Amino acid sequence: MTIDYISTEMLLEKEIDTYKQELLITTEKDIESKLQKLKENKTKVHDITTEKTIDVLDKCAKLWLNKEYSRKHIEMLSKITNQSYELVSYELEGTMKMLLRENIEKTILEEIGDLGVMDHWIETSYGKVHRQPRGILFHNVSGNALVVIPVSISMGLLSKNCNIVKVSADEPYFAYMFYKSLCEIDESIKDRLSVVYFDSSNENIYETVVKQSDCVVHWGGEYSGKIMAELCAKHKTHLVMHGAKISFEVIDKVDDMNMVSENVARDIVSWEQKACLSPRMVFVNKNLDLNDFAEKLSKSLNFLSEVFPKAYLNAWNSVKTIQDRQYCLIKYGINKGEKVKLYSSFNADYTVILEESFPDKEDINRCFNRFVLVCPYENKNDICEYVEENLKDYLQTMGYSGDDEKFIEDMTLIGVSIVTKPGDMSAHCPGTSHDGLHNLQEMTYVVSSQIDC
Amino acid sequence: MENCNFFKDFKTNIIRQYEDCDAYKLLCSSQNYDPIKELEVEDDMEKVPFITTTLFKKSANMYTNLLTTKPENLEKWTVSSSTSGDPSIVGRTKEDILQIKKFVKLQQKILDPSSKYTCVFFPEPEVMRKHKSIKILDKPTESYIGNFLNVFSDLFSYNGNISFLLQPYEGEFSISMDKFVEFLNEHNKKNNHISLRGSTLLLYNAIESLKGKMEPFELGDKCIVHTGGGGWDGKKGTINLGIKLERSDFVEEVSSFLGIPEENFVDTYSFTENSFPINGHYSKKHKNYLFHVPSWGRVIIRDIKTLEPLHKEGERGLIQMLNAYGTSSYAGASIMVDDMAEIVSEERCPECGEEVMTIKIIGRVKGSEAKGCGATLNVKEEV
Repeated sequence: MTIDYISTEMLLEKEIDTYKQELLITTEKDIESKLQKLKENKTKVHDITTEKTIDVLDKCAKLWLNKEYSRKHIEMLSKITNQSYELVSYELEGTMKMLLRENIEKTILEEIGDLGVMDHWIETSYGKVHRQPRGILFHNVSGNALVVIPVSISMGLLSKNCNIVKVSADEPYFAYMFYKSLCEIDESIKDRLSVVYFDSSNENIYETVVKQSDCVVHWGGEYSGKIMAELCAKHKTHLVMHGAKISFEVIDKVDDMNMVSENVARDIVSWEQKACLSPRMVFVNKNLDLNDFAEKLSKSLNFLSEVFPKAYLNAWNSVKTIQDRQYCLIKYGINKGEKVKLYSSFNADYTVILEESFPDKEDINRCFNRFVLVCPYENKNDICEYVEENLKDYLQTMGYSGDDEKFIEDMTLIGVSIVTKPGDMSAHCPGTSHDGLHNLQEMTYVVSSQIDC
Repeated sequence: MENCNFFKDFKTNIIRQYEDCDAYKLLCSSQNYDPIKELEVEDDMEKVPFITTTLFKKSANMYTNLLTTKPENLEKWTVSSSTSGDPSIVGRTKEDILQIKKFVKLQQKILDPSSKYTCVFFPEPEVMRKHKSIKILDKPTESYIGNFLNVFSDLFSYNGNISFLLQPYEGEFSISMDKFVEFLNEHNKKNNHISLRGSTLLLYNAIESLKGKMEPFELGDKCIVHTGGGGWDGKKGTINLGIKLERSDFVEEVSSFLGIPEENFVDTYSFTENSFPINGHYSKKHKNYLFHVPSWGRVIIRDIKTLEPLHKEGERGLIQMLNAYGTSSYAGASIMVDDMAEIVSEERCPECGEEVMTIKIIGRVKGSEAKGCGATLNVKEEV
């Protein structure tokens, strides 16, 4: 079958444009009117019980977990993200399971200690404690993996805030469909949630939103994050910064090389390495059999390319991988004179490059779409130094195979916020912090009453 | 050259490249490939590893590692037009540059070099070649288009007058519209044997600017329009049209305004890292140029997913070009470019009947897709 890639891309662009038009805000007046409506609902929203919101989220999760309902959305998301149907389906399942009642309840308990603290006053040693919403939350979702959208929206709703969500130009679809599904379950969601799109270059609209919001939750890119930080500082708006992140794995000790390499491969395939929790490089102890690890990792990636095939919905993805593969091979193998070994498919399915050194910073930017650098180390302090020097501002998850508690202490001191076993990087337990922050804590004020003490 | 033994000469060229270029040897060994052992019959050419054109980019900083000779043996570095701001740099010997000239001469029939008057939407070859020229390892850089212009002007000026419309202006070029209008008026309704050649975008822009200001012309069926240098995606060098230029729109609009038959339109396709240009004549039926692959070169179209060679008519994929000649100084024997093409026929051109592989150029692979929340580190690079 011949696929007309160019026509497919044009059709997709047209479809994305349709959604953007439906959500489009073009003037400050329009956004002010949206914000005003949300503001008017603050009291009403405050009176909605946590149980009611948990129920809506649970029903919504079950709706999306039903393939009859989600199939068409998975197909569309597959096209937008250039990921296969199988992979998006797998990712969406993991994302939606986090919204099921038991997981939401666990998240609330882990983050703020009590399921009822947002509804009423809870007795403490000094009197009573309660959590109050900040008011209007602006969620700035710029170019993110879809996992963050349900996280951000669900936390915004649970914390009894009124929420306005700005979607990104290249993926306006999922947030909008998620919003619609919530409305299908409970029409009144519209009173506390609004999804919009506007051109990022329209600074006046951004400024109006930030000025009139009580809290900004930013997910994504560094550039837009900087703009948000400046606007929040100017208008004294609380900022919850979930910037773009980098994750990696460290293989220090291994009981079963086959299992570890299979798990690392699973981490690499999830989200096509485009999520903040995806490993971009794997540091491996030099005392282990490096070639054996790299070979087993490539075999596992080969196996997973059957289970979760790459989408190849545009030619660029393929070309870019081959270009980067050749570039790294020659840069490290010839320019730097190292002994590099390549373990890859002939096509762009997967690329494992076994190096002799740690990668230059610019080459970490090539590690997407099942492209991974394997970097041997002699001493774990070398990893700490490298990570501190190059990745400190971006750290998130470390997949770790080993038992060195001091190393975990050192890494988390530098800024790693989640340590998992290989294979679990994309499956954070409910209630764990995304990147050092707890959203429900950030989206609410903790208030106390000490009059009865 | 027409009777060359391409396979034998390609094999010699690729083995020499394998032995003389460590970077290419590393690429081959990473695929467990040894051309000395594995290149036995013509079909084996499909298995020869390719080098992607981005490795020749200035920013990649490996163009010297892609040489197969010492830099002192080079005549010059040929440099692409740098639409992306990051030009390709290819070291060439005198023989390699002369080979380009030989290729053009071999195909001159389709380019109609005997026209009496020629109007060119480029600067004079000497000016173009020296434009922004610098020295790298003591050898000058020269524009790749300038090299072609040199060859073309040698061919075309032989039979008549040639007028270059672009002049240097504040470090770039400005186009002389007066000269162009003068040329059009001079040959209007005379059916002279003339030609318009050069940059697609500049010619298109010039015609667009004249529309509405003056009546259409009738240059007649002895006039040929020969474009080259790409730019169909709306960008070339510092020129930016802002929209993609459909080949059929270009031909139809220029044809109707200048009164030239559509079948008189010809386009040349090549790129800095390649050696042999291919020419295409416009087909009304296909609404596109049909490019002929000559016997002294090979084009392999590869599936974007599997990267396996495609062979059926209508199949589209990435372009790999095999060079047996003109790449003695650099690793250009097997090159993959980030352009896509469609196979029209592997046997003969359906329009003119010439027995050659015929393809349509689809255009540059576009580079974007939805981002994730994985960070892209901000790295300062000097381009």
